[in-house]
Amino acid sequence: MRSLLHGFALFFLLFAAQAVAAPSFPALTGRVVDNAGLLSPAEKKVLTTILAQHETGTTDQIVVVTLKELQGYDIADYGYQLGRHWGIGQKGQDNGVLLIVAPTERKVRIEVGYGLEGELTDKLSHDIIQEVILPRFKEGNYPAGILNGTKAILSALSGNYIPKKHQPKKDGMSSNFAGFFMFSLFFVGMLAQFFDRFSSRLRLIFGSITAVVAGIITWVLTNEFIVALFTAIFVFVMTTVRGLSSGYSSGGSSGSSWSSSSGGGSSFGGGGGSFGGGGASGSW
Amino acid sequence: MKKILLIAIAAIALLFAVVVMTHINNVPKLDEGVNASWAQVQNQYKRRADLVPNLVATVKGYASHEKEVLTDVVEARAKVGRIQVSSEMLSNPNAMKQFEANQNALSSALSRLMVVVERYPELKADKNFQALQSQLEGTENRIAVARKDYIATVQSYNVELRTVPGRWVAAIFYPDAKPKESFSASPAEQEVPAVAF
Repeated sequence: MRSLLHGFALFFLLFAAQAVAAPSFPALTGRVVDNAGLLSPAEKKVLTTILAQHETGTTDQIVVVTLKELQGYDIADYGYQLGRHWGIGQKGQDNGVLLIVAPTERKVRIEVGYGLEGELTDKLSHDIIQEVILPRFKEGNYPAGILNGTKAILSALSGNYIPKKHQPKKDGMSSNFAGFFMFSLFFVGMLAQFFDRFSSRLRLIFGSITAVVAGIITWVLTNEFIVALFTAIFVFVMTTVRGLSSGYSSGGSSGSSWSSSSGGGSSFGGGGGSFGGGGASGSW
Repeated sequence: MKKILLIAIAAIALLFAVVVMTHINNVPKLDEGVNASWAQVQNQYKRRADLVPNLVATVKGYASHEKEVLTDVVEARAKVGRIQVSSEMLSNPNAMKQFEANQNALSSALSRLMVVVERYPELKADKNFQALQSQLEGTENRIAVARKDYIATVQSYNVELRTVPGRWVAAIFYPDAKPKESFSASPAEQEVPAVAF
């Protein structure tokens, strides 16, 4: 158990070390994340309303971000990673768009999720930036550039976009699998304790049956005979040897508290969409 | 005494089962991840190759005497079309090197073309050319993202194959699985372009 814990610790350390290499991202506080402070509260409200309306109609998620700095990254490089980090757009549809403004670097970008690259093409994004956003930015009128740019993005998207039905993709079974595994372990422990009441011959019979059933279930689930065989042996030993389970099942139950905490608090969250570098950038 | 032995056997069997169960699906899963990201890489390179004929035709309309650069682009484009790397060939270093060399040749030919284009203000003002330019830019960007994703998926696949206990599980259940080739930043990519005024 300890080595397993060590393994976990090492894994998380590695994970943390990998995370350091990526840029740091601002928190997704709403549909308008104004870290550079370019917008007034009233302008934010207007933007949030039209963006929310658009999502209700089409499920597309559009987020406006202003950044204090790009941390030395190219805006395109930063943009798609930010979009993936936040998971803007619905899962499986990847219908998210980011309008990113970095006033310090004088860079602007429309980052388009995989699913909307057909509606909001690179050419359209390019045109919106050049014809709608940049002229206003050059005058120093950031709010007008952002607001009109957002409206242009929305009208480009509504061109002939038919909302697809929301079909969340099935998640990998690994996390379910771990939970299932703990549950079966616990269940076998309970069963073993229950069998302890019977005579040794009856226990042998019941234990064999349980072992065979467990083996078959494992075989079906993992499609691997060797895994099933070991599971069957394990279950057989657990259920047939008297007293083995008494100390064990309580340990199993204490270890099986699974909780998943999802960061709540904000009313808006990304739907799990992904980005592949579509869109266009501009500078002024 | 007997009980201790049984517990020991059960514990070892359990440990083995846990290790195998947690890793049994990793190799095929990561393999599929690599295949998907490779498909994306090919997609984006294909997309760029598809843009080239249009781009060349548009540039020719304004700068037909820039033959050398245009021929370079056309030839590089033809070479790119000739080599196909299927997902089964990803463990083959030579195929990957060839693929990369050809794509890099097209990259550098295209960037030379874009430098030449700067000399033709009328071409730069052409709407059609502007559209192609923004598409090319977007595609290069997508290629960069797809390459990065591919490198990441190959890395996790190779780590699974090369480290314990994934290595043992793979040796037992997937003896055919081989580490895959990743992209390397080519000398041409690392080179800083010379700017002359």
